[in-house]
Amino acid sequence: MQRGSRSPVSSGEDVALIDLLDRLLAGGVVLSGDITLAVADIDLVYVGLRALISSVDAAERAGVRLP
Amino acid sequence: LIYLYAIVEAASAAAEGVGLQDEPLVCISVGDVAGVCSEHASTTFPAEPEALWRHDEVVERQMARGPVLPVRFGTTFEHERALAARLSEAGSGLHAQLERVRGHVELAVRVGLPEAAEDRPPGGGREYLKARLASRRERSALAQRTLDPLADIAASERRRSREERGEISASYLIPADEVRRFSERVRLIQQQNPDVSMSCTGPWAPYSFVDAEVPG
Repeated sequence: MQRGSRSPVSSGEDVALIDLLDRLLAGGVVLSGDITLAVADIDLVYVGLRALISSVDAAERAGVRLP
Repeated sequence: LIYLYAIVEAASAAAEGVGLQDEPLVCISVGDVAGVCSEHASTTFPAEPEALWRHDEVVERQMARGPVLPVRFGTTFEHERALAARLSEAGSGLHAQLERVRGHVELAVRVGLPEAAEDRPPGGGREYLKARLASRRERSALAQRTLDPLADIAASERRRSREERGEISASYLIPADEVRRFSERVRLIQQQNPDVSMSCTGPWAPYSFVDAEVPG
């Protein structure tokens, strides 16, 4: 689905991505012992995202208008 | 490997669209439940945004057809037989869960805490504990103020305090036709509480309202 459609109230794509991560990586049914992804991957996604969001916050606070 | 996205009712299962790495979808039915999956040569699935969105897209497409149990990202089986055996083993548990989420969707709400509460410089041990306690009280008052009024629209609620992220996050299972009313209420609460920042996303499949472990 288009990412923008995940926002009945407000919030951009980054917010939706954090909610997506919380759900797909920590929620859902676990039916097999085989979760075939490296934990390092997950940490990297979270770290990358946090960095992105805080830099957006900082830029906005500094009055930078982002596209 | 067989990669599993969702469990649905066999009657409403459909292999529409493509899965991870653009592989075609396959439905494997066992009794009255079916697994929506795809077959892969690769053995690992990096948790990258594109792949996560694709997984969710597959789940969401099934949501339009009937109740869905979303499966955790990265769940795989050696071959079709292994999946079929597991589905047959867990059949009645899965069926009960599908009934529980029928007609419902999940909405995600996060409440960002005001920063001042986080950056209190710790003095001595006693001061530090006092500050911790105050901050915890503040957090729970805030949760009450912002999240309690949402609970009565929901069939079910899960809350998590994310201190490391300076926020409280909550998930709500709500009837699909209440999405608008719910999101208007979030908007209203945000207006009444300008000191916090609220976000609401969805509708999601009920990722937070399925039992992680399904016994056989």
